[in-house]
Amino acid sequence: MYLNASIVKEASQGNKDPRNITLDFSLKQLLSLKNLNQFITPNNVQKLLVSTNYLREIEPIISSFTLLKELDLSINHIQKIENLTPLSNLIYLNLSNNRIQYVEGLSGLLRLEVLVSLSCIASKFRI
Amino acid sequence: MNYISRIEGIKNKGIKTLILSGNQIKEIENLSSMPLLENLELEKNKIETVEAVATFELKKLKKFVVSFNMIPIEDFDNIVKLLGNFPTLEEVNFMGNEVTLFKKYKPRLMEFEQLRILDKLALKDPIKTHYTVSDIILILSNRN
Repeated sequence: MYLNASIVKEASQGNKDPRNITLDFSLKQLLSLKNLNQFITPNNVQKLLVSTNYLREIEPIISSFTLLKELDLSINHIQKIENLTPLSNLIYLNLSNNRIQYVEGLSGLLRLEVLVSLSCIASKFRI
Repeated sequence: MNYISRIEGIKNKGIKTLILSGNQIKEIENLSSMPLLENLELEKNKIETVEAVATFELKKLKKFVVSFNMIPIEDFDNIVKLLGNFPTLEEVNFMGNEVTLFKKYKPRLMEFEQLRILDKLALKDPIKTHYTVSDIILILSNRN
């Protein structure tokens, strides 16, 4: 399934502060987030939850969410950690249960406090 | 099936929680770059000793979980050393390791006053446990 206005509306329900938005796309059978910027302004999103979907990569669109504090990409089909370097405000990152072979590219995440990397398939662990 | 086999090269100094459970880690290493670490969870790996942990400068470590690894009875002295070195350590979990079968295991560890939870059992109030259904299944399956 791909993103549409209805899914985005449902994912953003309950947000009261337009400058502090949580998007919850968990369990939506999503294949991609590519067109997310058609529906939402990335700068206002602080929490992005995309657990339990069918994402195969961390798409470049993710890097535009520069104020993101929490990112949950657990239980997807991601094979490589990429496009996270601009997320310098990230505090929580969950990459558990993916298909990651190398844990890398996290050195730009200066504020990262919580790294949950459960069950990453990885032959080497390099950051 | 997971294949992370080493903890290495983590340069995110602000990390307070690191969870690498369910992988293939054999050694606890390279934690010096995480001086703010409070919560280290390495459940279900292939760790055989906790000897190295006491050598790291982890002044804020509060929770240390290495349940369901391969820590033998012979490593008990290293656990004692670990708790002696980290007065901030309030919760440890060694469930599912051979070392928990050591006869002095529980009484000796209970001597450490900072310890509030040992193997998911609240020491100050033993009636309160932190077992989940999956913990009980794992314990029973290990006994069989």
